[in-house]
Amino acid sequence: MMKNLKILWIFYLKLLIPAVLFSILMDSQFGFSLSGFGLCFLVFLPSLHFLIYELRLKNEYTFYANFGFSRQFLWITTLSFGLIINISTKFL
Amino acid sequence: MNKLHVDSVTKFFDENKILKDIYISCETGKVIGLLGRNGTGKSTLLKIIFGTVKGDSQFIKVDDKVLQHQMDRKGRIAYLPQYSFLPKGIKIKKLISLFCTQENSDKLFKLELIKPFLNETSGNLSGGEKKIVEVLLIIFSDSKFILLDEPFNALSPKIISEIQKIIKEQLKQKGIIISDHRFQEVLDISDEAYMLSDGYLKQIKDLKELQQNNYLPKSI
Repeated sequence: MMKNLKILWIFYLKLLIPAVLFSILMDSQFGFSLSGFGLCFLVFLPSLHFLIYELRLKNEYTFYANFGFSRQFLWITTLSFGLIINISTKFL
Repeated sequence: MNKLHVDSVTKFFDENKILKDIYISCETGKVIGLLGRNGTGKSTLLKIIFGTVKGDSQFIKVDDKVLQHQMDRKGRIAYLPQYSFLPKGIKIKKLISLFCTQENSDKLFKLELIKPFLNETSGNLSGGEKKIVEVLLIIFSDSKFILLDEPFNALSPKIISEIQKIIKEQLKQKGIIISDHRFQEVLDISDEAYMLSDGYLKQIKDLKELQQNNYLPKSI
């Protein structure tokens, strides 16, 4: 379990920091609100996933596959995480 | 002893059927060599066994477990691709602890081949150095079966010889399928060798058969 979390952390480290920063920047353009941040995050996280892993670092999918994480699983996790953050910020 | 059973693998690319009902098996202690001309489908076959490419038909089993999803392969099949696949920002010593059991990590930390790179990240290594690290990580990983796609590419003869020794040592716990154009090095360590030609897998017994199948020039 711990190893799985470490592998996912390696994968998402490249996405989370820029996704959070871009979401804050974009949201601040329209007057900062948590629900606005959630919406921006829902857009930026999958976009960065596509730009970084589908266009730039496609070969790295083999690294994650060696630990049982398929490309499809990683996409579902990204979309689910974006949705969870988006829905949670609506209720905060 | 563990057994990998691969059966009924068929793969089309557009109208072109490149794999025709392939059967191959491997068990702990055995090295299976896979040879073939460029574009005959060797890498595709390995990717189908590993799960990153889906065959039009396939049946893959390790012991009694039929492998349907990528997660089913975890701890059962590890795959070394032709290309570099390690994340760039992570130190090699951290990657060793992720890929290997404690026992194998200790062995790797003591190995002269990898010692100079332990505190480096994959992004700081040359092509050949990356290959050494990747081959060793996969061979020492905690999987029962190892698929090696061109492991000797970009490596010097001395390193290849050391890797061959390491492969033989690791056979006590693993089965290995290896594909490379360095056919002599593959044949040296293989218990059985197969050639992929026209979509079919044929067992090879000597170099003459490789010539007859148009893989080697007649002059060798």
